[in-house]
This record gives sequence, structure tokens and C-alpha cells, in this order.
Amino acid sequence: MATPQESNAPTDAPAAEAVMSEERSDIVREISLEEFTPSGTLAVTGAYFLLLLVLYALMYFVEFAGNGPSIIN
Amino acid sequence: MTFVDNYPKATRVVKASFIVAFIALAIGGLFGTIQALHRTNIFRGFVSSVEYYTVLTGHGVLLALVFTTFFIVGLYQWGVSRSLDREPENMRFTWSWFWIMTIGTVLTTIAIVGGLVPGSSISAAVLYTFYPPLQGHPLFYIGAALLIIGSWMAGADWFRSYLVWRKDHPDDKIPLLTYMTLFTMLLWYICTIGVALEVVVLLIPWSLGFVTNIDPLLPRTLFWFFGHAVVYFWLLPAYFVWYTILPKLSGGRLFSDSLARVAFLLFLLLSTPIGYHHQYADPGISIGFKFWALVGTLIILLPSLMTAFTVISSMEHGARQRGGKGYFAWMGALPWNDPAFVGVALAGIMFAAGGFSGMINASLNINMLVHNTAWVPGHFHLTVGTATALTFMAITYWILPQLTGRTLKYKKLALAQPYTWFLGMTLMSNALHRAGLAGIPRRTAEPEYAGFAFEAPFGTIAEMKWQIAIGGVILFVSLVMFLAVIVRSWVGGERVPNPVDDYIPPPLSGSEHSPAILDNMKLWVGLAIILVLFAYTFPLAEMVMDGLFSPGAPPSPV
Repeated sequence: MATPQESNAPTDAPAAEAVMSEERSDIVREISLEEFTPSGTLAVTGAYFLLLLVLYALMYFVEFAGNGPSIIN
Repeated sequence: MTFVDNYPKATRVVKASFIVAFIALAIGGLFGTIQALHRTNIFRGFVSSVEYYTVLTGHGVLLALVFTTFFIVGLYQWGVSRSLDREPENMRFTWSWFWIMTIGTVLTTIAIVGGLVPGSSISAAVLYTFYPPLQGHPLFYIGAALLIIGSWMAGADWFRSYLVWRKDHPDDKIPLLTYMTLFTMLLWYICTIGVALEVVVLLIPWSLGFVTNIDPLLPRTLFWFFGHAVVYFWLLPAYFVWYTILPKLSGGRLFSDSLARVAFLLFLLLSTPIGYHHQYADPGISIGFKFWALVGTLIILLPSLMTAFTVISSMEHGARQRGGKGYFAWMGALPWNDPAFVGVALAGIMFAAGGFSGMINASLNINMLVHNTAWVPGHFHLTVGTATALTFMAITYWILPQLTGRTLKYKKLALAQPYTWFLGMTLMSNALHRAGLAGIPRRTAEPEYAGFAFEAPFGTIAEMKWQIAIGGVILFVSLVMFLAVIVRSWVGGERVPNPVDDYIPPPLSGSEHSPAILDNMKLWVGLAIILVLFAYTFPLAEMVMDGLFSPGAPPSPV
């Protein structure tokens, strides 16, 4: 059967920190919410936003700046 | 003990749904490869250029409507049974929605494939966007209507389970898997009103010959009332996987339960009122409503960007628990040898690229540069064709053992499959985007014109053609690899008590931190309906006031 945490609310675990009951061999240390600072997420999403800016600029040069004025002419 | 041991009745309907989904995937995928070879003029021996449009319709309908919908009902039945700890309430009702959907699918497929049978009077080369003046055989529309009615009943089944559960748990937050299921279905109920009206009131009488002429704009607008929200019907089940299962596969836990709920309710609010952004080039809809759709579309980027944050941080949590370090190096600590993880993660990366081309589509002015060009299929092969389809394939590697009680076979092939898909889609999609910038049209069997040569802004037209064709073939190879793994595992996996680690750890910040208002379905549905009324009341009233079928145009082909 599903564990109580899953069946009643996967999110509603009163002792959330104690629920990693099923040990996983690939986990070297457990990190709680307080210990976790998602600095890598900031780096990745920041890089993505930069990429979006570059691609937007590219679209501008391809589609507008690369062609002469049309409506104004 | 796994899902099949705990919920044997639900398991049977999930498996049946997956079987239909994968048959549709196989046929639709084959059609896609034929298209890739035909339109690039690499090989035009499979079908004629007239039959190309039948193949295109089959590809779109079997993949975007049938594969997705059947996989989604299977996945959501799994999620609801698991998170509410319940079998379906009444198996006769559960099987009835499955069979109504299946009969509808068979009718629609007969109508489409009839177009490839010499001398057949049945055909439905209406493309995936089945609005007039293109007209299909009545079976096409009747089958599509049954598919949608069956999916409504599936949603009703899950709401019923939820209400029974609620009696025993009056004060609990809705379990996250069920929350996502119910909010997706609320979105689906609202948006399918448009396509139901289009099909039942306008297209079926028209295809049966009860009326001869049709107003092209009204059914087209009703289609897009449904036609943009449907992309979220495809995408939200992928998000369901990304939020609830991917963190576990990464070795971590979901970062925030509340953020997941907020993202889903924002999609419920915003996905239907923005359908006009597919009609930016249509006359007959005022620029004001198009501008409203533009604003709404840019706002709806927010829940996807929130999803990017939550999902990436959950993966980072997993990577750091596995010993990952640094700003970017932590990604190397993720389990890149687990096929389920790899497929879902690569699907997410592709979706980030699709996000960019979607922003271009959404922007009213830049859209005009890519409207109806090959850019558009380039875009949606990254979204529904990878973010959704690759997520569905990859998570099958994790869910199937829970349904069969058997281990996954051909694990190396399974691991190579998502990488192969990623490679094929990188080739095909980048070339389609660039071909669109060169002005090459979409949905065209022979996109070449005498005395005219397309000018490519990047690369060359010849190189794009080869990338599209080779990419399409690689995608088909990847699809065959997927089917081989699934069939072999289904019938030949070893029966063991725990064929896969199916434990899902609770979120880092759980529902105890989530405001109760997020679970107030009446409030969010009410707001969603108000937003739809704002967007659609006046334009639809204007189109209807001169008569449902006028100004009338004859069908095509006549």
C-alpha cells in the first residue's frame, strides 16, 4: 500500500525530515530545506535568461535590421 | 509490493490505456517519418503529394490527440489511485469511458486512413486543426466527439474518487498528484466546450449535408478556444511527472508543494482566454482582442518559468544529496545512466528551447514573420513532440514495472533511446525553425516553386532539408527502440516483488506550508470562467448574430 505520506498528502508529512525511510545507496547525505541553497538553480536559470536575450537580439537582426525599411519607404 | 498488487483493477485500465496510446504512437510516428522524407524531397515514393495531407492528418491526430489523451488518462488513473489510496469507485463506469474513447479513436482513424485506400469514399484530410473549409467524413467528427466525451467521463471518475476520499479526510489538503489531475481536468472541461460546440453544432450537421455552407470564422474561433488550452492538457501531465516523480529520480525531493499548486491553478485561469494568439493573421477578430491574447500569453509564461525554477531546484537538491558541487558541476552528479531520469531531463531541456520559439509565436508582430511557416512545427515538436512525448516515453520505463510487476528489459537500449530522440529532434527542429525564417511554408507536400529560391538566413536550404529528413528517421529509430523495450519488458520481464523503487519522498516544503485557498476549486473555476467570458463573449456574439452558418462558404475540397 502507499505510505501514509503519499496516500493522505504526499506533502502532508508531519515529520517531513524523517520520511527518507527508504535508504538509497546513491544518496551520500540528506539535505534539509534549511540547509539547501539553490545557487546552482540561480546559475542555470540566469544562463537561460541570458540565452533568451541573445536569441531575441538575433531575431531582431535577422528579421528587421537585416532588411531595409519597408513600410517607411 | 507495487502498484499492481495494491490496485489491480486500476492497473488493468491503466495498461489498456497505455496499449492504445502506444499503438497510436507507432502509427503516428511512421506517418511523421514519411512526411519528413516527402516534404524535403528526399524520398516521395511512399505516398502521392495528395495523400500527403492524409498522412499529415493521421500524424497530427494520432499523436497530438490520441497518444496524448490515452497516455494521460492512464497516467492520471495511476496518480489518483496511488495518492488517494483507492481503486476506481465503479469499474463498469471506468471501463465505459475507456471503451467510448477507444471506439471514437477507431472511427476517427478509419475516416483518416480511408484516404489512403484506392476507391474509398471515406477520407478526412482535414489536418490536425480540423476546421472548415476543409471537410472530412462524418465518422471523423463523430469519433473525435466520442474521444472527448470519454475523456470527460474519465475526469468525472476521478472527481468521484476525490469526493469519496474527501468524506474521510475533511481537513486534509488534496494530495498533490490528485490536485494536479483535478486541475488539469477542470481546464479540460472549460476548453473542450469550444471544440464540442464546433463539432456537434456546426461540423457534424455540415459533414452530413444538412447544411451546405459554413461560416469559416466561427468554427475556427471555437477550435482555437480549445486549441491553445489543449497544449496545456498535453503539458500539465508532463509537469505532473516533472514535479512529483523527477525529483525522486534525481535523488532529491520536490522543492515546494505550494509552488506546484500555484503553477497549476495559473494554467487553469489563463490557458483558454488566449486562444486568439493562433488567429493573429485572421481577419474578423479585432486587434484589441488579439492584444488581450498577447498579454495573457506572456503572463502564462510565468507558471512555466516558475516550473523551471521549482523543477531545476528539485533536481539540484537531488544532485547535491548525491554529492554534487559547484554552480554548474552539480549537474554531473545526476543519474545520467537511468533511462527514466534521462528522458525526462532531456525533455525539460528541449522544452526550454521550445519556450523561446513560443515567445516569438506569442509576440503579435514577430509572429507575422513566422506565421504558418516551418518554424511552427519546429516549435511544437519541441513542446508536445518532446517535452510531452519524451516525458511520457521515459516515465513509462519507471511506471510500467509497477503495472506488470516485472523488471525493465533491454536497459541499455532504454538508456540510449532518450539520447537518440534528443539527437533526432535537435537536427529536425533546429532546421525547421531556420526553414521557417527562410519563409518555407508548413503543411505543404512540395514546398518548392518554379523560378523561386528560398534564401536562408542561417545555413543553406539543402542542409536544412537533410537535417529534417535525417532527424525524422532518427526519431523513428528511437520510437522503434522504445517500443522494443516496452514490448519485451511487458511480456518478458522477470516477476519480482519490487520491480522498481516506486517510493516518492515528500516535498522539502510540504502542503503544511501551502495556503488553503490554493485548494479552493470553486474559486479558481469561477475566476477562469470570468476570464473566458471577457475574452470570448463579444467576438462570438458578433459571429453568431448573423446566423450560425453565415456568411457561408462552400466546403473544400468541393
